[in-house]
Amino acid sequence: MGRKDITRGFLIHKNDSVLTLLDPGKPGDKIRIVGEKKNLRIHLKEDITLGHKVACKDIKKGDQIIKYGYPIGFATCNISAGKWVHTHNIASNYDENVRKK
Amino acid sequence: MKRHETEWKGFLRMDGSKGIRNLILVVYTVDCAKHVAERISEGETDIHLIGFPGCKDNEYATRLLISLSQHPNVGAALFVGLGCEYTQPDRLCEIVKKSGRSSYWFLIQEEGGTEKSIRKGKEIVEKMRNEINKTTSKVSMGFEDLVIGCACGGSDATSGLAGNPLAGIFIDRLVDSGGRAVFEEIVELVGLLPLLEDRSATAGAKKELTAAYNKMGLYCKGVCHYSITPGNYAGGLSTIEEKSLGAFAKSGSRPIKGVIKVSEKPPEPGLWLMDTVPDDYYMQFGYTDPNDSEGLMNLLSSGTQIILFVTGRGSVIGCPISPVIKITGNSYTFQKMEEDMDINAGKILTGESNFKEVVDELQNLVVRVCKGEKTKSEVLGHREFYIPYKYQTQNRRNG
Repeated sequence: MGRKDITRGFLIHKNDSVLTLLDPGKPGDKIRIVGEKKNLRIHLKEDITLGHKVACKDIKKGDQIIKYGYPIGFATCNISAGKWVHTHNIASNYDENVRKK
Repeated sequence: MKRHETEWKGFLRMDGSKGIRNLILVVYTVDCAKHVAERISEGETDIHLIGFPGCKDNEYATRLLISLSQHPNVGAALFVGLGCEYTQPDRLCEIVKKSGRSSYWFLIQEEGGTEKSIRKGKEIVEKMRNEINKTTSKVSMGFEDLVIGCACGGSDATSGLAGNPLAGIFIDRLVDSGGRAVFEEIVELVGLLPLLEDRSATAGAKKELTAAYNKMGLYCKGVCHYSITPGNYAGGLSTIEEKSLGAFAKSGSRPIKGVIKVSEKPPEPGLWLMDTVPDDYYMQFGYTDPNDSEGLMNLLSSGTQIILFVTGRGSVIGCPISPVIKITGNSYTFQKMEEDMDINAGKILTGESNFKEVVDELQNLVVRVCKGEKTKSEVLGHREFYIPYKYQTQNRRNG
């Protein structure tokens, strides 16, 4: 792989543990933070599509995922920074239907 | 924006309400009368159609028919029944007449069938059109006379980042100008009780918001369904609380005055939450916002002259009675579906623009629509409606 591409990641709140990608990204892409200002060095670890979330820090199984400065669910396994965060590794604190899966 | 730039001439109703359109409504009272009602209203830009499909009447649905027929944008209503249904067109007509509107009714069985009924209906709407064009007074209107509803549908990750926050900033401006705003989708406030409590205007409002939130929680558990769809997941939303936080952004930042139920009007200026969830009933029935059209009907029932509809994935719907302004936070969606989208808030995320510029654009559009300009869904003829059976009582008796 040659030059590392840049993907924009939107940080809504300084305490958030996830960013929302504004461009589709691939492994190795460097993330440029937009939205809230914060100094974070993150490279994507997998293909992540536009609008989906990427962990901006290491998250432990059972930890609350923070977006908008607020919990949006909990991690169902360990998630390292740069990994895709979605229904395969987080679950709602409320929706029992999803938790059963 | 200067004061004179946000003033326009609207239509004054005898009950004191002010509309931005002068429409005739054709209302069928059972599915059997639908075809005739459709034929009476088809091809006419100022004649809109609604109706209730059920033969057995339903208090909630009847209230909706009445509130929609007395909507500020409606000047006249024709009720068309088959003749054997429980919902009686003559009773509805009488109520709407009392609001000072031109109102008529007939039964297809009495008229002698389809063609005679269509002819009769067309004669009546022509008469009503002449009446309202001649007799409706024009009146000066501004933001303080508006009730604006706000809903979202087909959400994706951009809805919470740009589309809904943009609508929220506009709602703040409206409320600061003395207007009324109604937001809904309480089933998309899951997990947000602390935020609702923080935003309560008064102790009374806090009590109403908490009660409505708790009812919603029991409801969602009871029906084993949360308002999150395959499209939402595909758009990057992972949980109902994540979707809820994005959806809540459309309410802006001003205090919430309280909770209104379907067919209730916001009793005073400010921001209100609409509870559309069925109340507890021995015979459980009714579903809350089974589709986006029902959500729009609910907002209409509170007298909203305009509805803001935020979509990320791209929705095409409109509704009868009130213009719908469609906002997307997703520039790809805007480009792909430009004929359906009124405002591109995606420009904020791409860096081409900012919230201030796009909210000014939205405000200008709202004023132009109040002055008569048609929104994209109006031009395309989108007038979807949906009135289901539901059990819900009322909080306030403010007609």
